[in-house]
Amino acid sequence: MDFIFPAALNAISYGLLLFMLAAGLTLVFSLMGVMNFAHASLYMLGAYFAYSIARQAGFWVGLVAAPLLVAGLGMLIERHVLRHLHARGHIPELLFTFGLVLVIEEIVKLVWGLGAVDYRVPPELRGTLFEAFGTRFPMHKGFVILVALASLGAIWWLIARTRTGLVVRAALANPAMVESLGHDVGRIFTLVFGLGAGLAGIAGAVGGAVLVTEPAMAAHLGTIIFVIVVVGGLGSIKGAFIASLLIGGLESVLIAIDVRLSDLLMPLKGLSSGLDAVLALKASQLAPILPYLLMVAVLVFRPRGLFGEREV
Amino acid sequence: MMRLQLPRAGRSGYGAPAVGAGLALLVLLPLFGASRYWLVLGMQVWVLAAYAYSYQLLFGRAGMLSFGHAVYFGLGAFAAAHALNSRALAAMGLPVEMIPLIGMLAGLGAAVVFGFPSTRRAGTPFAMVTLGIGELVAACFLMFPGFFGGEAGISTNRAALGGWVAANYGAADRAYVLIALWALALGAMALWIARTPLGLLARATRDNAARLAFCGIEPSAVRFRLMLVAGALAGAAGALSTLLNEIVSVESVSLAMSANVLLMTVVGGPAHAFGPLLGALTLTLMQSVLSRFTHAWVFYYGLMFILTVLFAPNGLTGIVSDVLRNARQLGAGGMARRYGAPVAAALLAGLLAIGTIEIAFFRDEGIGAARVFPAWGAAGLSLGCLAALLWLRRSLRGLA
Repeated sequence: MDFIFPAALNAISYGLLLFMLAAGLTLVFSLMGVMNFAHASLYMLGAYFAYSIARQAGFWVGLVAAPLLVAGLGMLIERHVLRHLHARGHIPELLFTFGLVLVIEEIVKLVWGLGAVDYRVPPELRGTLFEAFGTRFPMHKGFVILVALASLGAIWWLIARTRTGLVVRAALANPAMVESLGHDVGRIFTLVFGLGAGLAGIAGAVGGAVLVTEPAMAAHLGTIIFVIVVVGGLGSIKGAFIASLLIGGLESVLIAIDVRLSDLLMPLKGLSSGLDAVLALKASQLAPILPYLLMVAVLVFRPRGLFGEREV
Repeated sequence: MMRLQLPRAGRSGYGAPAVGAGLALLVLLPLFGASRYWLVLGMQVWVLAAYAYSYQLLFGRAGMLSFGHAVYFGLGAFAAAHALNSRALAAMGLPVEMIPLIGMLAGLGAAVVFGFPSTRRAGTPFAMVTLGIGELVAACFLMFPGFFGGEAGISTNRAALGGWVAANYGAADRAYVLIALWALALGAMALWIARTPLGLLARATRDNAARLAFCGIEPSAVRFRLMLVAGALAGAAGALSTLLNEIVSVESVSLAMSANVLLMTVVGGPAHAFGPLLGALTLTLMQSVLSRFTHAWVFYYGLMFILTVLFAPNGLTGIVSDVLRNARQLGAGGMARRYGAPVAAALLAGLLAIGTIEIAFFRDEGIGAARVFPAWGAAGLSLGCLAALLWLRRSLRGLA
C-alpha cells in the first residue's frame, strides 16, 4: 500500500494533465478533421506566457491570462490560416502545423533562451496536502488535479448543457445542416479551436510550474498525446480519458519499479545473447518506450482504438 | 492556350543530355581542385538528396506523409557502421563500394517489421503512427547500447575495408565520387520506381483509394510495397551518411532527422524530379553557410517551410518552372511589368523582417547590420516590414 498509493496519485495527477491536452486535440480533430501537431507547442507557449506574466503580476494572474492569450492565438491561426488550407485537403494542414512546431520552438529559444526558466508554483502551494501510508502528497500535485477537473468540468458543461454547446455538437454530426439552419459554422470552428488551445494553455501554465519549463517540453508531450489519441480512438473523448490515465499510470508507476525482465522470465535466460540483452532491461528502462509499444499493439489488434467509432 | 503556339525549349530533345552533363560535372567536382570543405559539403548534399529521393517516393507519389522516415535511414546507417567495423566481413573481402547494399538490406528489414502497422491506413493516421514508430525506435537507443553505442554513438573508418576500384576511400575526393555515384543511382532508382506499375498504383492510392480497391487492388498492399522500396532506399542513404561522417549517433534515427527529410522534400518540391536535390542543397547551405552568420537559421528555415506550404505547394522547383514558363510567354519586359512590384515588395519585406529579428535578438553577434543598429532600430524596421507586406498584398491583388 505504501508504494501503490503515492504512485496512483502521481498517475492521476499526470494522467489528468495529459487528458487536458488530449481532450482539446481530439475535440478539434473530431470537429474539423485537423490533427494539430502544434497542440503541444501551444502547451509550451502557455507555460512560457504564464512564466513571463507571473514575473510581473504574480502566479495567479498568469494562470488566468496565459491560457486566454494562447486561446486567442489559436483562434487567429484557425481563422486566418487553417481555414484557407482546409480547401486543399489534410496534408497541407498537417504540414503547416508541423512547421508551426519548429517555428514556435525556435521563437521560444530566441526569446526565453535555450535552458529551462525558473517557473515554479507560488509559496502557498508548496506545502504538503496530506500524509498517508508514510508518504507526503505534495499540495502542487493536488492543485494539478483540481485545475484539471475544474477546467474539464467547465468544458463539459459548456458542450453538454448550454445552447452554444448544442450547436457545437450538432456541427460535429452534420455541419452542412447546421449551416443551412443559419448558424455560422466557421465561427464554431474558430471557437472550438480556441477552446482546445485554451485547454492546452491552462495545462501549460500549470504543468510548466509543476514539471519543468524548457524548449524541449513540447517535443516530448507532443508525441505522447498523439499516442493517447490513437490508443483511445480518434475523436473519442472517453477513450482519450482512459488512455491518458493508462499512459500516465504506466509512466509514473514503471519508473519506480526496479525489477528486471529476467526476474520475471527466468526460464528464457541464456537462450541467446540478443534475448539476454532484452531480459537484462529494468522495468524503469522500459518506461519511455511502453507508450509506443502500446500504440503499435493497439493498431495491430484493435485498429479503431479502445473506444473509437471508426478505424484508425 | 498561348503555350501551344510557342516552341517548347525545355522539351527540344537537348534537355536530358544537358541535365546529364551537369550531373556528371557535379560528380566529377574533385577534378576541379575543390577544397576539402566544399567536397564535404558536396557529399552532404548527395547523402541528403538520396535520403530525400526515397522520401519523395512515399510523400510525392503516394501522399504518405511519414514523420518517422529516419527509422530506415538511421538503421541503415548503424548497420553500415557495424559492417565497416566487422572483422568477419573484412575477412570475406567485402568491398567498401558494397556497404550501401548492407544499409539497403537493413532499411528493407526495418520496413518489413514497421511497414505493416504503419501502412494499414493512409492520411492522418499514417502520419501519427509513423511518428510513434519513430519515437519508439529513437527511445530504444539507451536500452541497447550494444547496437546504438549509447550517447557516444558508433565510430568507424571508411578506409577499414578495401575497394574494388580504388584501394581505399579514405581521401575526401575519392569518397566524394563514390558517394555521389551511389546517390545518383539511388535517386535514379526512386524516379524509375515512380514510373513502374507500383509507382503508378501508388499515385492511384493517393488520388482515389476507394476506386483502386473497387478495381480489385488492395491499397494498403500497394502502400506496404512502396514502403519496402522507400525503406530500402533510405537505408542505403543512411549507409552513405556513415561513409561520409565515419560516426553514427542517435541523431540519425531521431525525430529531427525525420523532420529534415520532410522539410527538404517539401521545400525542394514534392512532385519534381529535381525537388529532392534542390531541397538537399538548400538545407545544406543554410545549415553550414547561413549558420555562420546567425543563430536563428533554423527559425528562418522553418519560416521558409511554412511559406512554401502556404504559398508554393510545388516548392522551389515549382517556382522555377512557373517562372520559366511565364518568361517564355511574356518575355523579359512583360515579366518585369507583371512581377516586378510583387517581387520587390516580397524582397523588401523579407529583408526588413530579417533585420528586425537579428537586431532584436542578436545585436552583438548577428548578421552584419545588426551590430551597427541600436535596439530601437528593430521597432522602425518592423514598421517598415509591415508597410512592405501591405504593399505586397496590394501588388498581389493587382496580379489576380
